[in-house]
Amino acid sequence: MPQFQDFFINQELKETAKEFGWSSESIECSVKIIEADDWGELKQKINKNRESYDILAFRGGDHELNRKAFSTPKMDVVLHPEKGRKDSGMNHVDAERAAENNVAIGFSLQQVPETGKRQSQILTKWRKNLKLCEKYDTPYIITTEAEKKSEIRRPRDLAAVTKSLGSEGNNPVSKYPDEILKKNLKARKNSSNYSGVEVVE
Amino acid sequence: MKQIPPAIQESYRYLKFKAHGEEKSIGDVVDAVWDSAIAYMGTEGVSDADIWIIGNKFDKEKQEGVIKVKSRKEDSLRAALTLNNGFEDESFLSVKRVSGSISGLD
Repeated sequence: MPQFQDFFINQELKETAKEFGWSSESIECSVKIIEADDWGELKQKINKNRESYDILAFRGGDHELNRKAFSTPKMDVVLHPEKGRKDSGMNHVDAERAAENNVAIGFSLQQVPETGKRQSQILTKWRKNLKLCEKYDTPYIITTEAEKKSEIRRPRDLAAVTKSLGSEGNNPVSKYPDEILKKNLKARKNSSNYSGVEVVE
Repeated sequence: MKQIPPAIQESYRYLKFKAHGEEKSIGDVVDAVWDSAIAYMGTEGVSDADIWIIGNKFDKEKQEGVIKVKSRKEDSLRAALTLNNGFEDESFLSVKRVSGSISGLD
């Protein structure tokens, strides 16, 4: 039985999330979502928070910063790289770098309006990014970023969104988040300074 | 009418869903499913999906029911219900169980 993980559900909704099939491990882990306007600020925030949190995510949108975040092994997730952009916020170079550095692309349901033109535009960008992720074997996750009960969805329903846009399997809700969490918990247990650095005995 | 040979018959999936939020009637649920499916899949997609909400399987107390859909369109319908709730309030439908036969849902 696969474990379904969503790091970005509000911890107050833990019980409801468990009812819906999410693992409590991912909801209980500590998450820091970074926002930054330039690379200096982003770098500073990464170094400051990396050791204190299990999951480090960055709110994307600026292409230059998206690329920097994809190129940083200390980063875990870049949320909505397409936010506020006319393009999808990433290209083949970004996808390759993200795959090399094991940085996941985060698709957030909060970015998708209920209906209409905006929804189809966002989903077009998701489709492009998913195609790149599949081609370059880049990890990607899908999250509701639920702040209230009515925003939570079941894991397989979320996976169905990415499947209907061209990806395969339940990886964005099980395999990829599981790998990120395990990698980071192991790194913190070994009291390594860096995510991506393993102490070999 | 003679039955179509099984080899060329379409296979279907039965989705057991639950309505979360305020209590809904079968009519509200049917409207919500259709609105949400048409908004996401378009008229052509919905006609291809052959969606059917099975009326006598709707349990008003538990707020649970069954939707029949072509198996290759299952993900699209689930995505539609996830992205657009179809209701005017914050209620939404979530799929609890999927089976290739109605009896498999029990």
